[in-house]
Amino acid sequence: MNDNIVKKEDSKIIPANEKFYEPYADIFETEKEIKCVFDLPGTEKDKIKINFEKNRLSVESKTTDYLNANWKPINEEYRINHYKRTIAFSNAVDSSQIDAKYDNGVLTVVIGKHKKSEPKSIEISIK
Amino acid sequence: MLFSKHFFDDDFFDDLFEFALPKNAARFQNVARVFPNLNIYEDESNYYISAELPGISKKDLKIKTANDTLSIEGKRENVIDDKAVYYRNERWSGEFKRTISLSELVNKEKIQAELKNGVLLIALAKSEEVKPKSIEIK
Repeated sequence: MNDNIVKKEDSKIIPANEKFYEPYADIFETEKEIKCVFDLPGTEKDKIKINFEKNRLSVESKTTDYLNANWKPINEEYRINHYKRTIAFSNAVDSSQIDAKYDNGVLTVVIGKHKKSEPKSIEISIK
Repeated sequence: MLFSKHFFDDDFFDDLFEFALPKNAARFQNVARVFPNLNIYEDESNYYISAELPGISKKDLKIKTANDTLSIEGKRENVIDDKAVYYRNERWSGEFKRTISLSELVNKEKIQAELKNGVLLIALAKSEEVKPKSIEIK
């Protein structure tokens, strides 16, 4: 396992005045891959943008208008909004193997890892 | 205080800590939060209750009405992989229940619920008395 495969998250690249939520996420590493699971309720497959660039995974989506414009709010405990989150990884991730699926309001992104090169042992003879 | 506020605002600290917390980290530090959050709307003929329930399937969700209450309950299982290394684990798991009291303004015979893309939407028909009526001028 590679230490610190997830480098850090940067919210800095997003303008501060832009309103969005960073969705809850689970990020974990198994032997073969890295899984990122995001809670993205109320959106649709076609509206989710996933981008991987310079070892940064960014996920963005607007919640769909499941509400009718004619409905008057009585009590609102959550905001229907814009999701955005960017996570930076180390060089151990393999950007050529990325898979994503959206099911039941949960987005799962699976990223492959580069195979670790086996440590070679070389015998050196003393002349 | 040794460090001025200016010092803390500096990028230095973001770089120092490998895991900078996301901006809205306060949202998940609050352990005993109400779940699920509900939004309530109305139009001429119905009340609507919406709730965000990502990762909860139909079979793990129960909606019941009893007397004057409507309850939403269920559970979300988020299986932790023991062999995996976790960098973030923010998605909660467990059981939840939320109860709403219904007044006589709701026709309890006409309640519909739909679960789509992790959002539950319940439509409650208004009883005849509260529906807006237009009055004819004679």
